[in-house]
Amino acid sequence: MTHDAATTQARPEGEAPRLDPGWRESEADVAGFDPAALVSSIEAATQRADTSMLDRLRAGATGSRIAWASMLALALAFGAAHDGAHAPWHGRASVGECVEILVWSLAVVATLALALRPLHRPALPRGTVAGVVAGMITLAFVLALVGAKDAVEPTFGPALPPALVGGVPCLVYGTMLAIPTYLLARALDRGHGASRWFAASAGALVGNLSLAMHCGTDDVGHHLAGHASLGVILIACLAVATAWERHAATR
Amino acid sequence: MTWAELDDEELMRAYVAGDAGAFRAMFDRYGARIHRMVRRHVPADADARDLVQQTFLQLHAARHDFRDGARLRPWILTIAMNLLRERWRTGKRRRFVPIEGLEGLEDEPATAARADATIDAARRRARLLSAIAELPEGQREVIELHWFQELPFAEVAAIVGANEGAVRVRAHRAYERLHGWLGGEGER
Repeated sequence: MTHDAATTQARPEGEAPRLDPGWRESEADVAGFDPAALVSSIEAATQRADTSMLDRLRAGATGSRIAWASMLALALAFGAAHDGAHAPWHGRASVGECVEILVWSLAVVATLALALRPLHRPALPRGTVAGVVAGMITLAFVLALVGAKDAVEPTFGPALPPALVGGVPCLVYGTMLAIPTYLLARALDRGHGASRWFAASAGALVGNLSLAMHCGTDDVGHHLAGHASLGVILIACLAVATAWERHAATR
Repeated sequence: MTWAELDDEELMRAYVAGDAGAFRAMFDRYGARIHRMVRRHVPADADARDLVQQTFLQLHAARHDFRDGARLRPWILTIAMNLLRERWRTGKRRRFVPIEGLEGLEDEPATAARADATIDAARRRARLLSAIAELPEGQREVIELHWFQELPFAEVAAIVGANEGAVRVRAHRAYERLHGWLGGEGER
């Protein structure tokens, strides 16, 4: 049979050519398939699964996984900032700051929900994943500009280097919260490809949420360098790690 | 009642309720089908077996997400397709199709005719799969589900997470491309 014969089946006007059905199946596709051995190994693996508490949480319904992850991540953020300069429960936060904290909290829950998207649902397109991650980073910069009380001028020009240096402790603080959040989301995830990006975004959001309550500095440069940059740094690190991993896999 | 008398969804519900035998019945229905599906797109048997294993482990892990009204076939094919797509993205997709097990056949007169037919079929198959491997990811998965798996466009759309119109467009473009590539090659 020529390829022409294989691809030029009679078809309605305007419809794409179909391929010859005779090409569908091949002995090569079933070579090496030993169903008895394979199902036995899978059954053994399923019996090994679900033994630890984490395994059981991971095997739970997606709604409960998201609820657990959100609860623990928010507890981490609020717990770390329990005595913060803008903690709402001490009456130290303005209405605007309470709204900002609410926005951060909702963003954390939404991003964790995406990180824990189950594998039986269609994968999100790469553009959507990139858009959501970029949106979360942008949100951090917007809230840094909106939330800071100081004028923009003092942090530009000669005052910029001190603002950057002053942001380092907040960056470290945020990273210390972001990493456990990332690990939590990855631990409860069942292996969706985009999960790592959403988990890193959720980590950055938890860091920013806690910093919004914890940090007493109102300087715009400090907020940009020490708070908002957290997401950029985490995503950049993850991108490097992912590229290295894929390079290693294809070698 | 035997497992064979139960439909897919009843099997899955039985498994969720704790009946381990239902898992083997589901594997009997879908294991070979998923192996054929992934084997077409990954270069090694071991990778194909790994993907089948991962698919059923994910089915097990996600069993408490299975709700009334859900259908097993799109569920399990979505899992398999997501895992396969990940494999493509990490560079482990089939870029070439070796023609294995044919060495020496042409040298045996008694089997010459059979060898010719086998070699022709294998080469044809290799060209088809290599051509499919060159398609963009979105078109490749639609061809796999629509042509190889013979699923209706609505079900393909549900599995790949796109609307039916977009899936039809992808399929049309993919069939046109394959026709051009394979037809052109055949004329040479």
